[in-house]
Amino acid sequence: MGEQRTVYVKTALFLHTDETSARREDLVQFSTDIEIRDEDIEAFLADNYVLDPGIKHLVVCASIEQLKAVMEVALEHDLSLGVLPHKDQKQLGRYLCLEADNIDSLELALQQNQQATDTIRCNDQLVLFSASMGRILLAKSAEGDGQLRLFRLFISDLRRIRLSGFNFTLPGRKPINTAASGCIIVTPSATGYTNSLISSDANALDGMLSLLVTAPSSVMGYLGFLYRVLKGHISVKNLPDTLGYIKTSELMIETSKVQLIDIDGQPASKTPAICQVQPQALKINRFPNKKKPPTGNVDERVDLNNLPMGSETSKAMKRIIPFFPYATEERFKELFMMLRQDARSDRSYLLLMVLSTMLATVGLFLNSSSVIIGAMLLAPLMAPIVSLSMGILRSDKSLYSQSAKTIASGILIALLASAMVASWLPKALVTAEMSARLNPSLLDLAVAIFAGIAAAYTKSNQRLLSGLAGVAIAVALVPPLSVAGVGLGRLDLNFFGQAFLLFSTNLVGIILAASLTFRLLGYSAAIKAKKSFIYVVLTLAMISVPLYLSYQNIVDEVRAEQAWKKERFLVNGKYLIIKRTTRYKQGDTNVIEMEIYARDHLSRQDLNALRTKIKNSASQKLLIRANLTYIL
Amino acid sequence: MKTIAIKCLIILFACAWLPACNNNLDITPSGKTFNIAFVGSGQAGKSGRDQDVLEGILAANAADAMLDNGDRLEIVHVPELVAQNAVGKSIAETISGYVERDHISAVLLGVSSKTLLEEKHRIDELGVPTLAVIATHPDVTDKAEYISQISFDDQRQAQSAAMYVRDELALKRAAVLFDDVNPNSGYLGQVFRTTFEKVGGSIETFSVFSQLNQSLLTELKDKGTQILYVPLSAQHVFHVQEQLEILDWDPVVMSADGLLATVQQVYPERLSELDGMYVTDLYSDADEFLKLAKFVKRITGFYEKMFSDKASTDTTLGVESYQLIKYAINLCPDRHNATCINQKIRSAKIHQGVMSKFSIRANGKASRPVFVNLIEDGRLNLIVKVH
Repeated sequence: MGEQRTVYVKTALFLHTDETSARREDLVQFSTDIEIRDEDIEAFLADNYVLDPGIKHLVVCASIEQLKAVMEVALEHDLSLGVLPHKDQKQLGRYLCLEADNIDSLELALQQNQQATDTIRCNDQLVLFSASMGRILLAKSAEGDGQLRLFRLFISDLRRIRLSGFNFTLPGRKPINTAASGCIIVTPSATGYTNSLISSDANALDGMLSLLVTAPSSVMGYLGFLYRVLKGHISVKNLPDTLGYIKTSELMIETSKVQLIDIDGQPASKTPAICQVQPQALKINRFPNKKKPPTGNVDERVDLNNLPMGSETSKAMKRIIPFFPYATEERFKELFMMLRQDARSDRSYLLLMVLSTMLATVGLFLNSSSVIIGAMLLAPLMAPIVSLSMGILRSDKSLYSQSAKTIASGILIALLASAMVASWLPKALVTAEMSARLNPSLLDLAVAIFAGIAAAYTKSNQRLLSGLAGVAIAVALVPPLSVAGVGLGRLDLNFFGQAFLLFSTNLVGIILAASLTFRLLGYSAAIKAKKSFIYVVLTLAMISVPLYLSYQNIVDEVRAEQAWKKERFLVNGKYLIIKRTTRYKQGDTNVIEMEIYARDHLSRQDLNALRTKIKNSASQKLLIRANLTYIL
Repeated sequence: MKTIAIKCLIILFACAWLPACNNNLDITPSGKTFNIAFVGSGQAGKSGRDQDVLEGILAANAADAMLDNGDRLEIVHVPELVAQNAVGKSIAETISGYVERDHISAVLLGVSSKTLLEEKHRIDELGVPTLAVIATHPDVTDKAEYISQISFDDQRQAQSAAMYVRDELALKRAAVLFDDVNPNSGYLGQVFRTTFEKVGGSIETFSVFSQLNQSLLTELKDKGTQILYVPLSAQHVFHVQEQLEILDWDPVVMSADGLLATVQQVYPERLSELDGMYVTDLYSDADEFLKLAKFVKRITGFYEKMFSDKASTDTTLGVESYQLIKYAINLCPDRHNATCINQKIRSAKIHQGVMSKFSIRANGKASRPVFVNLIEDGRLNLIVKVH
């Protein structure tokens, strides 16, 4: 009870080719209650063929082109259609929602009263699977394609893809002008990623057609798209940057240059294309779709946000696809306004510089890292440096000269302020926080470079602006300036020089890294102020020499300290273990402090012998200080 | 035009400065040759340690044969180390032969302590500056005027071993197995025992190797012995390992210098059996201690061209011995002045060796660090260096 009985047709006309005529036997054997007549399909399609009015149902086993021709006849004469696909007509099988050439297709082909399905026409030609214009990304991909195949398609596309003008006109709307590499009408029986893209949204009974528009803005963008295809992370609800999507019942597609239209894999027409849906027009036996027909009207959908619009369209068409994406005008304008603002030296900038420097200086004397961090957050120096980077990148003289002046004034004020504070405070005091800002090395340059990248990136992205505080702390521009000022205040040029070297390292590193980051983010096609950029690079190269030497010193120190840990001394029969060593300079003297473990008491004679052994084994003159711990 | 001219001038100046980067002055050969003899253990063919020593000496000589005035040094040795014994010659007789025939300036001895001690006085009486390369027994230089040692002596070696075990491995119970036929082994064992007991350790057994059996090992194991000190030959060490394996006992095992070098030469297929063993030695394979002084780089190049063997600690000793003798001869205008050469050898000057500094004191004994190593993958991994 409750089970629906399957109703079959009483009479069916089997249309076949010479190769598929044998299928008649299958049909006859399936049911003896059905009258099966057969006809050669070419004869049926001939102009002079007269259809028997008693025939209401056709069963076709032929090529796609022949099937489509029969479909036209079926539409004209309101006939129902059953299809027996070959083994190799997998797409057709998908269209019918069945597996090709098994008993289900036989049963399906002879059933009656199946749901009529939408038909899509493009320039009056039936579209069963897809209709494409231009170059669709990974167009030749099929379901089950491996990563290697997809990657090969990607490489082949790269060489050929160009964007050209496309105009999409939907009923009752203004034409949408954009630039794209191509577009494709996709049905649920399409193959490859296009199918998985629309599978959640498309329905053969909703009276709508689905159009995908592909427009890679850069090679990197296309790579990202490829990655998402490989991972299966694409859907119409979450379109990759390179795709646009339109769902509508009727659409006109015009192109700036004539494009061939491929319908179901065959060249069939040329643009302009008029694409329409005939809702539930064709009575064709398909396996019941899991998706129910939608109740009520289905909304149109236009999602072309990822595609170039307005003035970007003409720009996109003029050039080959760049490696990195270009920033849009809008993003550009927002950022530029911000950077110009940052480049200005106004009262609040100067005041903040003074306050942050004085705070940092006091923090250095207090040896308080939290006070110093507070000063770092307060300092406004990062902003004009980032502006300067953009100015160099785009050769915007007003931007970089303004930024340079602002930075210079900031530096001067910082030095004076900290020198002044230092002159009030104890001269001899050198705290650990101060020492940490002396002896910069290549590691500090690495910090500056990463900070510069982060600064440029957070600046260019509104959502990430809050991250700038972290960058400011990491790179710490004001504390080394403060230490340099302290050195000035004490008239200690060595002190000043080392700290200023650290500041310069940060400054140059940020400028360079931020410029390159802005370049990669697409804020310029190239580094325009090449001369200025070269000066920055040369400055960096010059700074790198003392930084490298300093870094080498650090490495040597660490190695030496590690090496000392393996040293032992047998002095007058007494075994001495070196546990820890610290090396430092006291004026011109190299001092080594060591912690020694010993079992026995060491006499002066033993200590002298130890000193001799240490001096003999060391590569330099050392002043030795030893702390003895006895092993009990 | 002006820019090109300036660039050309800069290039010219640079070319003029370049030769100044080369500090080495070319020495004009004087045409005179002076000989240094090498005397090995006298076993035919590849005989282990002395072969390595000879290779080191020959490579060093090939790299650096010239003295400052252009005189040349050559190494005279018996090709293939044909047995001196076979021709009925002792070491002293061999040296005498070299003195007469080749008018040698010095001798490098690649013989063991046992061999050397048997003829020590006769060798010393010859009055030829002699450097014992691999002999480490302290009696080698005791009351010897012309015999010096370039290796550390066994006193320091055993003391270092005992103190390391006690103070750094913090082990309290040790057993010593020594070879009573080998004076080095007995001496090392004795010093180890004395030192270990002095610092609160206990020696569970002090036995001759020939007494080694399963019941002895079982007894030691039951007593909770933590370390076996085995200053034995390679063959005997392998035997100890085998016995330990039978008993399924894995105590710490420590041996003495030359073990790895011998195994590399004579039993290379058994190298892996030494893994996990501690040894005291003259060197380590630790790169951070490799000075790579210019002379080392130069000699390494020659060694690789001349020999296919992998260099061992004995090879390095050979290099250092040659360097020391060359230094001494160089300072003596009369290249045959034995007194002068001997004094220079024993001048207590600090020499830069391959991996550490060393000096020879006036008593002929070497001051150089003892490397305590752990053998891993056929390499001496440095644990500590005892000065």
